Amino acid sequence: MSGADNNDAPTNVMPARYDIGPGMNKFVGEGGRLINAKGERFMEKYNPTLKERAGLRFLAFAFCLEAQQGNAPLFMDMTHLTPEQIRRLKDVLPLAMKMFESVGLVANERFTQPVEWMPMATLGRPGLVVNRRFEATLQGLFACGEACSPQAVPTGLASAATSGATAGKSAAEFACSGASPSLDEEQVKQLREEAYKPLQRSYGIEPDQILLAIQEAVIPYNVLLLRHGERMRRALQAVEDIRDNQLPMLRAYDPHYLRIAHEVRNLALVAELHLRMALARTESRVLLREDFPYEDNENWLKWVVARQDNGRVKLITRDVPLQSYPYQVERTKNLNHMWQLAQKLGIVNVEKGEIQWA
Amino acid sequence: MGIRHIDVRLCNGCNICVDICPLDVLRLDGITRKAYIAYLRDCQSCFLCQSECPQDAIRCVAVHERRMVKAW
Ligand SMILES: Cc1cc2nc3c(=O)[nH]c(=O)nc-3n(C[C@H](O)[C@H](O)[C@H](O)COP(=O)(O)OP(=O)(O)OC[C@H]3O[C@@H](n4cnc5c(N)ncnc54)[C@H](O)[C@@H]3O)c2cc1C
Ligand code: SF4
Ligand code: SF4
Repeated sequence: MSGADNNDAPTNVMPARYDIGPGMNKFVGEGGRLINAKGERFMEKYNPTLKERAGLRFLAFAFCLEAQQGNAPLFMDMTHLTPEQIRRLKDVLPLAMKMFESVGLVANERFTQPVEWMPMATLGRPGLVVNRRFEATLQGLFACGEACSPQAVPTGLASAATSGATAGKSAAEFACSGASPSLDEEQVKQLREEAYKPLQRSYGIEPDQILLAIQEAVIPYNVLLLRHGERMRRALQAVEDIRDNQLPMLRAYDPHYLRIAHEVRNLALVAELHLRMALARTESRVLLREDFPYEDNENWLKWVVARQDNGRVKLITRDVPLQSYPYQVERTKNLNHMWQLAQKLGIVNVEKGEIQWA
Repeated sequence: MGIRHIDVRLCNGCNICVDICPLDVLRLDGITRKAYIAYLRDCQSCFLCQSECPQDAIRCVAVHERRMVKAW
C-alpha cells in the first residue's frame, strides 16, 4: 500500500447466485427486463426512456431503492426470449449459458423462470495511485490494470492491456537506468517468515471462516452501495475485529490454502480501505449516502488517498486538478440528482439535511 | 458441488483442466495420470474445465459449495 485512491467506485448488477460476471449488455440487449418480487418492471418508473439500458450505477441505485421499499428479491426476466435469441446468447456467452442450463434455468432453448439479480460494488477497488507512466509514489514500483486506482485505469481487458504495455515499458526503462538493486536479506527473511506463518500453525482459523465474515460485513446492499455513516462504522468495526483478532490466527493446511489465506488477508485490507474512504467522503456523488445526500462541489472535488502509516491506514485528500480540465465545474452544493429522483417519486424526503424514507 | 465428476475412464491425463482451473481445484494423480478434484470447496463453477477437456470427461453444476452472501 504505497498510496491508494478510491471512492467513486464503479458498480454493477449481476446474477445473485452464480458467478457470472460478463453479459449484462447482452442480456439487456436481447430484451431482458428487470422485475421486482411483485413482478413489476421497476426501471419503467426510474428511467422511462432507457429502462434497463440506463447506466450501471443508476441501475444499482434503483436496485437499492426497490430493496429499501421491500420489493426484493429482484430478477432479470428473460422468459420471453425466443429460441433464436437463446441460441445467440449461447454463442456469445457460452459459459454463462452453460451455468444456467446446469441448474435448469435454461431448458429447451428457453429461460424457464426469472433469474435473481443483485447490485454489487465488487468492481470498485482501491488501487495504486500512478502517474501517466504508471509509476506509483514508491520509487521503482509500477502498476497496471486493476492494480491501479479506478481513476487511472477503470476496469476491463482493454485498459488492462494498454496500461500494461505502458507500465512494462516504464518499468524496463527504470530497470535499465538505475544501479543494480540491493536486497536487504534481513527484510527478505522477515517477509518470508510472515508469508509462511499460516502454514506452520498446528491450530488456528480457516481462511473460509474469515472470508465469510468479511463478506457478511460488506456485501449487504445497504453498506457500500446505499451508504450511511452508522452502518459503515458498524461494518468497519467488524472488519477491524477480523484484522486484529482473526487474521493473526489464520491457518493454512497446505500451499493451496496458504494462497487463500493471503487472499483473505488482502480482502480484509480492501474492505477496510473501502469503508474508511467511504466514511471520509461526506457527500453523495456516484454512490449515495443517506446522512450526506448533497453532491458537494464546494468541498468535495477531491480524491481520498490512503497511505500506510506505521502499519495502519492513514487517509489524506488531494484536490482534483480542475484547472487542467477543459470544462469547469460550478462550485455549488445540490441534492444529488439520484436522490432528487427518489424525492420526486415520493420514496424519500429530506429532513434536516438527511434522507428520511417515506 | 460446482465441479461434480471427472470420468477417469475417459480422462487421458492431458493436464489441461489442471492448468486452466483459475481456482487451483484440480490435480493430476502422479501414478494413475488421471485428473481428480482436490479442493472441491474452492470451485467457482466457471465451467472452464468442462469446456476445455478434450475427452468431455468433466461435469459441472452451477451450485457453489461455499455459502454465497447475498445483498439482501
Ligand atoms: C466475473 C468478471 C467478469 C468480467 N467480464 C469482463 C468483460 O466481459 N469484459 C472486460 O473487458 N472485462 C471484464 N472483466 C474485467 C477484467 O477481467 C479485468 O479488468 C482484467 O482481467 C484485469 O486484468 P489485470 O491484468 O489488471 O488483473 P488480473 O487479470 O486479475 O491479473 C492479476 C494477476 O496477478 C496475479 N497475482 C496476484 N497476486 C500476486 C502475487 N502476490 N504475486 C504474483 N502474482 C500475483 C494473479 O494470479 C493474476 O494472474 C470481468 C471481471 C470479472 C471478475
Ligand atoms: S482435461 Fe480432461 S482429459 Fe485432460 S486431464 Fe483433465 S479430465 Fe483428463
Ligand atoms: S468449474 Fe472452474 S473453478 Fe471449478 S474446477 Fe472447473 S475450472 Fe476449476
